[in-house]
Amino acid sequence: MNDPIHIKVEGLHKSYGDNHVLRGVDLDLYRGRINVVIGGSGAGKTVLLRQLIALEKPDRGRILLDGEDIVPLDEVLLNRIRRRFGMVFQMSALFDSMTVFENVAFPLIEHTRLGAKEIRKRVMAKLEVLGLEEAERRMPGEISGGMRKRVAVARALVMEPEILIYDEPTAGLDPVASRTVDDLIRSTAEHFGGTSIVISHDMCTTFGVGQHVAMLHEGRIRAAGAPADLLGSADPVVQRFIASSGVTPALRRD
Amino acid sequence: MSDEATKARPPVPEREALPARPDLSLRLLRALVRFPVLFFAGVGDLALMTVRTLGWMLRPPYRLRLLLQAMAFIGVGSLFIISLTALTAGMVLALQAVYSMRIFQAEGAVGGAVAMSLTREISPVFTGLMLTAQASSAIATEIGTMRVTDQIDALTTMGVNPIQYLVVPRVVAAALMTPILCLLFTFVGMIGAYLVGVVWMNVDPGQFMDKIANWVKPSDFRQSVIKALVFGTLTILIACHQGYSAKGGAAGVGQATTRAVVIGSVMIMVCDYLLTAAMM
Ligand SMILES: Nc1ncnc2c1ncn2[C@@H]1O[C@H](COP(=O)(O)OP(=O)(O)OP(=O)(O)O)[C@@H](O)[C@H]1O
Ligand SMILES: [Mg+2]
Repeated sequence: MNDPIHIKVEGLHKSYGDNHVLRGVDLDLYRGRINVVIGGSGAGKTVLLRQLIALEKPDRGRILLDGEDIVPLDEVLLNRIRRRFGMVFQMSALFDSMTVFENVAFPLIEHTRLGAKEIRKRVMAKLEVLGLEEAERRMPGEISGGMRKRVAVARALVMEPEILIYDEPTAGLDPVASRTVDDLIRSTAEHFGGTSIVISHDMCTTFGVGQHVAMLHEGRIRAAGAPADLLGSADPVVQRFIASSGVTPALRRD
Repeated sequence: MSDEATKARPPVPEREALPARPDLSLRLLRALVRFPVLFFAGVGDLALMTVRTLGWMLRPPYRLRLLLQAMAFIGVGSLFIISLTALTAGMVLALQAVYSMRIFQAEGAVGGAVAMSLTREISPVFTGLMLTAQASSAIATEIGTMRVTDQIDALTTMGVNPIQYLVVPRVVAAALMTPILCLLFTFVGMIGAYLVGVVWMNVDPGQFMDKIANWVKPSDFRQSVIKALVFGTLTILIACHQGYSAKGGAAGVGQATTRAVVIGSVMIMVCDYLLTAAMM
């Protein structure tokens, strides 16, 4: 399929009680690129992402994955669709009753009929790429936050998904670790060649790795385009959001 | 509340300081309405969880390893506490029975009396309560922690249904293990009764055994097993449900655990009455 748009979101609405969080989101996510969604705290970024991977059903609207609307699908079909996504949660969400190796092997054990040897080979390959061979037998509770994030990336990648999603990958990390994660996102995208979606309010991440940026504001997409377009945007809301993070155009791409 | 009762109360000084608080009767009414609403919402939620659990139970893959793990956790984990409470329960029941029956010189019947109350009531109820204390609390905490740290969502995004993966094995394990634990409770309880009745209080051992066979019917055992099955399955299902719907970090997990134990225990007592009435 050569359509440059991998996922198309149309008129998406989601409310919790009286709280109308998404109010008609229209968003294009581009194939093979790093798409970044920015927005203030509570703007609904995580809610949007939860609709994308069908963790929740939207009230209204369509989510077209390669042109197929996934909103009306039932749980059994969705389980199949979800395997096309890899998801790196904000707090990593590793299974804390399993070792690092078992965490990464989990999707393979669940969804493939591979033998133990082949699983071991694939898991170790991913762990090596991410510099985690040493941590193979450790429990998630015994490793640092940055390492946990890398394990989460390894687990998301092991099924070789088409789409890799990161929720606030640098939240809660120090600046140095944040830049390491940025590098990780970039090199991972180069390595696996799929579509990446990054949710962030870290402007360094946004303009450091983003190839396509969209801003969510008051339940709608306020602006979208190349990073340079957003930096040069005349929209006062966009300007204020970017300016208040202290990132100047000089910081844009290295 | 009667007029006199309200008047007799000394005035509460802080009441005036608070701005526009609805008066007592209105607040009382609200609280009275809120409890049934919360109660029925909770029951509805639990029913939904039950239906989903049954649905996913029948669908492959069947995760035998997880089932065995859960059986070991519930069975082996509760073995010690169940044996201990069974022994003391049997001993105290025998003591009571011997003392009260001695009045009629009928203490020979102590074996039968204890066996009957154990099989019909004490064993299933205590097994259920001990399971609630031991297994339900642990399960609510474990699943609750997985919920608030997004591990449950992680399962879903990896195409693994969390009900099928987390709830089904635990509930099935409870259904299989509790009847066995209940029978064990009765057996150990009778050892306790024998120790007190025969060894200590000199009841004739032949009579002790005879009366057991006389008093306890096979239907009592059936009742025992059915009750245990219901109590065990119910309390573990409640624990899974509470953990599954936990929210709000570590504090939320703590609340879920408390609720699992409280609701589980209360439901066991309520169901005990209903089942006893139904099977009389
Ligand atoms: N399950 C839920 N039930 C009720 N309200 C919710 C739920 N999930 C999110 N919300 C509400 O939706 C709004 C948006 O939340 P969301 O988590 O998407 O924000 P965000 O953009 O990800 O913010 P942050 O940058 O702080 O993570 C918030 O007001 C939140 O209270
Ligand atoms: Mg968020």
